[in-house]
Amino acid sequence: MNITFRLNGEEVSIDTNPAKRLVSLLREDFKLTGIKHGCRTGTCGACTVLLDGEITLSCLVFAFSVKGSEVVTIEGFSRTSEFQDIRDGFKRSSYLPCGYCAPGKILAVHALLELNPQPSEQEIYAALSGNRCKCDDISSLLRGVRSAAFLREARHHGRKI
Amino acid sequence: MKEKWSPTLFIDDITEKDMLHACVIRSASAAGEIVDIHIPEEVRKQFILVTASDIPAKKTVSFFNDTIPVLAEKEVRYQGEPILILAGTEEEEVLEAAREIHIEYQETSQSAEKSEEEHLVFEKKSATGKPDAAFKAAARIVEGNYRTGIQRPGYSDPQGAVVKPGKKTVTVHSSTQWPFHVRDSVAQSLGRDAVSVVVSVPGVSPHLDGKIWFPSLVAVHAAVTAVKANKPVRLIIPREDDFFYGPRRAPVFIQHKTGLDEEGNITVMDIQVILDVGAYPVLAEEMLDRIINSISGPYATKALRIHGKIITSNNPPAGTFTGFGLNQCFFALETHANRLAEVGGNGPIEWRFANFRKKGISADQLVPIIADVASRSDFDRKFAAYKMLKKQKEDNVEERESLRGIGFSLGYQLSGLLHQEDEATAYSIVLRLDDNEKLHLLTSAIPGSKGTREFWKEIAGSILGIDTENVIVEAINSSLVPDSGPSILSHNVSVIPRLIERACQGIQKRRFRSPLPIEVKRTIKPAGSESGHPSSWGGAVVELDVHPHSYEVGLRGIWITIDCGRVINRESAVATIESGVLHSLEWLGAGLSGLPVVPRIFIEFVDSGKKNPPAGIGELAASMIPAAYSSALSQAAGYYIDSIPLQPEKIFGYKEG
Repeated sequence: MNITFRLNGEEVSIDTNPAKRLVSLLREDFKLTGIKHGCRTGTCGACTVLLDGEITLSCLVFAFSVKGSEVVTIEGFSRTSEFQDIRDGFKRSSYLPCGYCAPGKILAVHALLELNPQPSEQEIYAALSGNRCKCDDISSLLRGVRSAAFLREARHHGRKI
Repeated sequence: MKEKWSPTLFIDDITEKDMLHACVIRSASAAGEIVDIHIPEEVRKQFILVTASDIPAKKTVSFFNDTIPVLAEKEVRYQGEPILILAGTEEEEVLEAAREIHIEYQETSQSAEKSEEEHLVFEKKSATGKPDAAFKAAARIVEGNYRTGIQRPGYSDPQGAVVKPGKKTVTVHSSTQWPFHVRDSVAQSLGRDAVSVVVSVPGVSPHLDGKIWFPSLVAVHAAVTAVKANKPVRLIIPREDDFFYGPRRAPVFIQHKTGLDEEGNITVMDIQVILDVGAYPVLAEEMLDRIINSISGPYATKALRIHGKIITSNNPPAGTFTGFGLNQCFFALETHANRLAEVGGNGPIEWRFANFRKKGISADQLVPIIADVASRSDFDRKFAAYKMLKKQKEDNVEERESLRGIGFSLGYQLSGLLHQEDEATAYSIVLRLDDNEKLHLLTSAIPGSKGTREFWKEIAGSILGIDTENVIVEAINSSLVPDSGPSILSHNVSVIPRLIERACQGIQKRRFRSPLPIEVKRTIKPAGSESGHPSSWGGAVVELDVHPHSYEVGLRGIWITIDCGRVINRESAVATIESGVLHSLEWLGAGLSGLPVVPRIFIEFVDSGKKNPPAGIGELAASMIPAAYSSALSQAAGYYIDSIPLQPEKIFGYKEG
């Protein structure tokens, strides 16, 4: 089946098995290894992408269902100012998630801050509950997201940090 | 475009040109003999098949004295035991072909049907004082049976290996904590010199010591297949196989029998330990010795009798796991200690103060820890209040909606292995200061987290006055870095930093006197007195609610105080402990996703002397939290809890008797 969709801002077409998982399609056919296979059961969040702007677990999505949609992976998102805010926020607060969960976590934080620019501790904890990893500790996670939120707000208001 | 994402490569991201995909065909029988293997002719023609007879040299992988077959030849001892490797160009086709292979077994009796002698691997006994006489003289004898179940490591990146064969060199990409063990195991199975095998380690996510032994077996599977096919081979273990047959925390049964005097203080202890290592022992003696050495904890007793056994079963090999048995040991000891306090009518804190040993680990070290954590958590007042509430409920004076409890436990972590492979074992690192004043750290130690890597850079940078951005931890490649030993048991905190410090001192002596680059290698022999075994102690208090009807547990707070010698980076130490608490709660059954609200964790460190070397703390939480949690739950629910994990249905089961 031929599937056409927008991937990281560019229109792409591919002839593939429609039942292939989106995570496999992105990793194997488009060589986007930023997202990870992880658990393959929608539990760990390592395969998170933005599908039409919504955070989505790509291991639970069939290839055919992205036809005509917009898919953004960490590779595409890393070109945005929002990515810079999150990355710098994590760095400033010494929050260092492992390379396996970080891409999914960054997209999940972006989705949270889009809806709620100043989330509470509980809201951060709940929003990241789908991206838990063995590298997690609570203090660093909360500190990292708060720092990212602060930088994002500052940029929106034109403040220099 | 502002910045491109540069992903960390993990084992499942690595590919080679003309690579074959391999899968392991495993035993469907838990105990039996292979009678026949039916392989369709088309499968034989189209795919590479590897059996035990294809292994060029050594057919087992060794871990000190313990060995595991690379592939079962005739006997199978557990469901999931590797029998065949199948490899082909397309992953889906390989998996499909694997389903066409059928293996016939002659079932044999399982361990459960065998006598104790048949599944006993080895045992250790020791006794001090006169236990029998002491039990006769005891005012009261208290017995408890404590069981701890398995825990899976739950690492994010999969187990796997990618191997590229070559005439001179075999290149192995392995997700491992012990690169040189992978190298030696592959070399021995292929019958080659160790230097002709080069192991490269990609990113390895936090693993709870789940990548010590299993990666060596996986790497040998991939290497033997690659050599037979004369093509690169990629073997990624599916999550299902890993879940069912991969490494896990070994289940342990510990029986405590304790004699008390009139005041409720210990006079004699008799402790039996049974460690179920699964079908094959892996580093089992190390685990049993660690348990036995720490079995009575910091408590004084005039007589002590210990009997420890390692048994096999038809479960998959458990191997080692974070704590190497100490976590199970301390769950039993500290749950029992709380029970001893209760039956003697003492509070958990005052009972401990009265029963600490006077020599070795003594009250001097432990009292400040306990005093701090008890004070911050308001333990004594809450313990008495919840006890009174429970009594009121029992007396039907007042029916309470919520059930609340608070529990205390000590925890202990011992760094470094007690046993070594041989006398030649040594751990090394190299530091190189290059022409541009950049410092390169060459080590085979696996950082485990980005925080550890930053910690190493901070140590080296601070000694030599070099910005951490100019300290580079080089990628792990066994032909370029020295053997720094297995990254286990606080190795990254207690051994590697010491080597870095010494290498920095070596550079300091030559810097500004010798031309750049300057390269310094430093080595430690782990079995010598130089290495020692730094240890950490901690105290934890857990306060919780239990829903009176659903038996769901709500955490009210966790307080922890730790003495781990010199704390180099407090933020990083807090993060390590918090992470350990989350892993412990997962083991207990209160998993990460099972915590609906942010758990309140309050951590402090006792300054026991800044000169003390830093000791590991990564495994400490798992020694403290289980007993503190189960004791709190026992107080809240009113039922004596002696086994973990603890799901609501299990708590309900305790209620039902």
